Amino acid sequence: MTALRCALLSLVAVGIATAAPVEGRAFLDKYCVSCHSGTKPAAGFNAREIAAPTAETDTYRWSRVLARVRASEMPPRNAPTPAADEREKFLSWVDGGMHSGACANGAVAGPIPIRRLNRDEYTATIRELLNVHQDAGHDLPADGAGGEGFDNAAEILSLSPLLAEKYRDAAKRTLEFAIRDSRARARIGIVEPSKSLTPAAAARQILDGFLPRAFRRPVTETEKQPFLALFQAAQREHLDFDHSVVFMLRGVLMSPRFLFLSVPPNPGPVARPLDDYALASRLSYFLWGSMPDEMLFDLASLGKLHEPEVLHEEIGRMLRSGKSMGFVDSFTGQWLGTRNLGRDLTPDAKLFPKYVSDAELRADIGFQPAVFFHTLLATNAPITDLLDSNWTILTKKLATLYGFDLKKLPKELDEQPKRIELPPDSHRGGVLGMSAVLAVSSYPYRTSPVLRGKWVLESILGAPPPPPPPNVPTLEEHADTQPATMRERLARHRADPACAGCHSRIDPIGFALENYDALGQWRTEDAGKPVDNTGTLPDGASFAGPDELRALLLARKDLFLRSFTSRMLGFALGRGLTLKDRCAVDAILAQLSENGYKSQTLIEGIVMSPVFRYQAGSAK
Amino acid sequence: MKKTRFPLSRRTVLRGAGVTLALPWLEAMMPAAPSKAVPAPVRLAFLYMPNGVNTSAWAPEGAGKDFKLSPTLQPLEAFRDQIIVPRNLWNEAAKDGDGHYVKEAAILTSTRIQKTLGEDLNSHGVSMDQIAAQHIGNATPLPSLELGISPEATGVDLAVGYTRVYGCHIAWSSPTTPLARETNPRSVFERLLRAAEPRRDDAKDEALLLDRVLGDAKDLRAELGQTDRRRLDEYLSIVRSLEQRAESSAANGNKQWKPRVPLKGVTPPPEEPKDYAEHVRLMLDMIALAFQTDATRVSTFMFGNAVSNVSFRWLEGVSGSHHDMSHHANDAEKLRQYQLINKWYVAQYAYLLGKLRDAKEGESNVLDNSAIIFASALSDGNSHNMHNLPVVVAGKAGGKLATGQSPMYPEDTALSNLWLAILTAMGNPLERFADSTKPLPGILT
Amino acid sequence: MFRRLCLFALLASSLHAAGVAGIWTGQLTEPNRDPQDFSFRFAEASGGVSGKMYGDNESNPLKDLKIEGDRITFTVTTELNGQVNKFTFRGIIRGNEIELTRERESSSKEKDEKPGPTLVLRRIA
Repeated sequence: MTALRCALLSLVAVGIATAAPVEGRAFLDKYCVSCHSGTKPAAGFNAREIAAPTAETDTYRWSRVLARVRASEMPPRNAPTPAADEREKFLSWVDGGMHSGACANGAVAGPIPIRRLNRDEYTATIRELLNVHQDAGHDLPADGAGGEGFDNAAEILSLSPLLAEKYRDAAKRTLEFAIRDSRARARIGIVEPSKSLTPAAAARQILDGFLPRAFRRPVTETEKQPFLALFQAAQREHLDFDHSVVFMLRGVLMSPRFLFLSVPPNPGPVARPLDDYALASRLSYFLWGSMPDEMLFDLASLGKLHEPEVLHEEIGRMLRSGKSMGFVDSFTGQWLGTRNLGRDLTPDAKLFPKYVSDAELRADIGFQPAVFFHTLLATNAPITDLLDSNWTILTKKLATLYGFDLKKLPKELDEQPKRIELPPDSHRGGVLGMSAVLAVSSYPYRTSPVLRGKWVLESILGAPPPPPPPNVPTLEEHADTQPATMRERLARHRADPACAGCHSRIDPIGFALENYDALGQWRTEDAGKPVDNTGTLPDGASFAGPDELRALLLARKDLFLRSFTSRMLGFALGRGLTLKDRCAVDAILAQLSENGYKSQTLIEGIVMSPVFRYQAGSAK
Repeated sequence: MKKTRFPLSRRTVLRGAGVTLALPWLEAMMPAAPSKAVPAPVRLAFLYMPNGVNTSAWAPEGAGKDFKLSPTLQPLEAFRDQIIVPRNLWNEAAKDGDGHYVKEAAILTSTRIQKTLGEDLNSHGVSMDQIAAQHIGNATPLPSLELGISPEATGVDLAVGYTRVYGCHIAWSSPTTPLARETNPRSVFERLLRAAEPRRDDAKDEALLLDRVLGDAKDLRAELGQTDRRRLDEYLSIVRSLEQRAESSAANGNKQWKPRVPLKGVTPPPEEPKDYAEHVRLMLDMIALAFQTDATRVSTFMFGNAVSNVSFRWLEGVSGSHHDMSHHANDAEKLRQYQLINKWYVAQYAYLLGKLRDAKEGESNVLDNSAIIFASALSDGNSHNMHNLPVVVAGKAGGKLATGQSPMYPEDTALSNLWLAILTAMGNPLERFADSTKPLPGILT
Repeated sequence: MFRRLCLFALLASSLHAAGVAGIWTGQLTEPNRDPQDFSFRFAEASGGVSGKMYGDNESNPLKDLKIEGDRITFTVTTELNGQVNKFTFRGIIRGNEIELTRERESSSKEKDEKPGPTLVLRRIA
């Protein structure tokens, strides 16, 4: 008995069909009750007696049911297995039941767990705080990812002993440099002792200016004491003024009030708004990946930052600023997986020599997705432009890589990234036309429709295919056949019923992208044979080539928008999303559809949501 | 003046790269006299290779003392009498769960890791190397050294339901603390330098600074809610251990610990190795240096993260990349290349063994005083099989290991039994490790 | 009488001065260029009105700040990559809006032929 494990995939093709409660119960009776009933039901889950799923009852238990059935862990492999559409109907019954009524009150505030600055945030913050153009976080270990797939998720930002060493060394090295640099001295606010200013008074004055910026909010007299004590200790050791100041500030940069983003607990029963300083940090680490600037601090000090009109202005300003590259670069690199390009994945040197030898081209390929997204946000273009667009970002080298006729493009095209209107039939709209994306969803030396199909399902539709079963059965080898094309090689994938269930949904998408080689260059032939870029999904939907695939994705844009909004929300909140956060996603999606899917509507929807600006109360 | 042009200039876009400050870290080194009277310490290293092996070419021919090296193990010819190749080991606790992560994260913990996309990261155990480090780490400037080639992989693997953090760590100092690895050879070198020559006055200042920081941190902790306090506790713990090291260094200066060989005259490695092979060699050099100088006695090294798909096209006879070849589907060509890749890794293992053997120590050498383990968390990478894991132990651990054999154990003997035996050889009084039943018989002298 | 006039003038200008206290933001529009964000803060102290222009790196103090009736002028000097630029802003205050024009002081001391671009600031705080 083969297991058809692609319930989520079928959502792509067929559309969601919810089961009636009767059918939901029938599923439980047919597939679950044999183990999950009686006086000692397996895992304590009594499928016969449990109440139907709602937003309030047994939510933990039903979440577990949802996760295990969705992943095909349940029913276990040695038990009768439901057909794909049976499973899918059951899942949507559970999911729908848990969700209905859950958002009667709209979006609700959630927890705000403490989180440390990740490596990129640390580097950007030091740069802003001290005005030194250095990669201060260069030596820090890289961060893993969690939550919705990002390295700013609180749950994953653990602390390793190595990190303490590195913070210590980075602070020392950077401050010793800064104290000798006139710009950094000005930014820190160094004042020299003089006849009218004792060293201790000068140190205090420096700290008065520096500490609130480092801690990102006003500070009390008590909070200043440990650092002033460090200054005094250094003076007692006969260190000169500058080095005593460095010693004092090293302590500040080791403080958890600098290294962490934290909010005091909300002891009350109801959600309360974050204070303006906490809001400033939340906003700046979302849209800039760095500390607030002077204007944000000033607005917070006036108690005006939380006002809707002010937030609206600030969001626009922050997105238009170059500083938003800190956010855009990090988000797109992780969402698209293009961050791995040049690290874990490098196009083969022999097949793609220009990638390896041309550093400028490499950089162009690397930044195209991020600059595209930055421009999209700054000009408030629709989010759906990510799926397909009539413009893109090009440099002269990118245009050449993509085979454009340079004479037909603006003659100002040079090494600077420029927003270019795409000629018709350019095949380069949206992210699916970008070299970085196409390379990162390939092997270093050849394309893989399986990898690309999986990539689209995961990154664009938020519907990742289930993992291959363990002990993947060996394929029967036919000694006489010599497969040449990709399609022939993968056909056997899909001839075997054990594999076909999923691969019939993954591979066609990848085939539609076969005109792009492993570096994203356009080709009409592969291994001497014409590229076969057709695909048919199990529901009959067929397409040929990337443009038709893009159209198909646009027709399914609701799936994309939900997945993308959820990811962006997770990034903004710095944690994984909970069941309740879905209400916020629903509200934002409604706003998007009313506003032509404009990108700043998405950002504003997130920032204005209670989930971003409020902190949940302590009552359960 | 703000220039807001869309799109941004190259300069703005690329400035994130920043400039690495190259400071002259190489302070004048005082050669320290190698300690003669003190017996040589025992070291432990674990080299992890991802993606399993071509099983038909891995296992030695014969068993016991009468064994012949397989084609894949051929590079160990010169060390045949110093190795143990145990057969039929398996990591039972790691058997449930899809994909690589559940198996690879648990290779040194022998536990079942928590399935999560991040919110409750938990290995459910301390890794074997960290058990050793907790026991002997205080004797050296660095309790242990975690090294790797690839930094953390991005993202979560939604298909299998695990965060990729699991695939990037094999050393766990607590069930919730995966230990970050260094991947930059130059940084490792500088750390070893600084560890080898701590200056007494620096150390005293540092202890004071960290003490003040801890005080301030405790105040913050008191202001936070219950769940947030746990994070602060992690922070307090790592800063405290730094403070302790500074304090003991300040108190003792160079009296108690001296580097066993001087670091003077050692060429610092480049920051950016020119290719993968050079990167690997440089990191292995750092392990050798760390052990020679006694900066640490415990180290783990990951040749790559789980599911590593490093391209091996530069290796003669190979046209693919690692993970791709490991999913051979019984294709003869892929199996051939898979084996060549395995063999190359074994050759790098042999390279490290050679360096350690060449490092004389008193009457013997560093290899004789070490246990250097090479393993993968999968046997057949195609089926993600975990039975009969590929493991090699080299070195005599100061006379405690009986080498020159390939003992055949009953099917599915616990891997943790091997770890327990190794810990025993390291002088650890532990009686059980994870799911061990007893120390692996026949390998302790 | 003279004193009372002075007092009145002082009062009038200080009323207007108090009227500009706060944070203002707007976009400078120039033909064939993307709009640029500008933000200012004005403050009132016993010595009169002062202000700063926010910048990417640091804020720049406003010099020669004069407010007469509803007219306002000031200059700002910025530095970018070693190049120093001095700008003069002139405009009219209308409640919560200030309409300004900007002129660059070129080193050749010739006046720019084209009319300066306009910047409309709104008070947000």
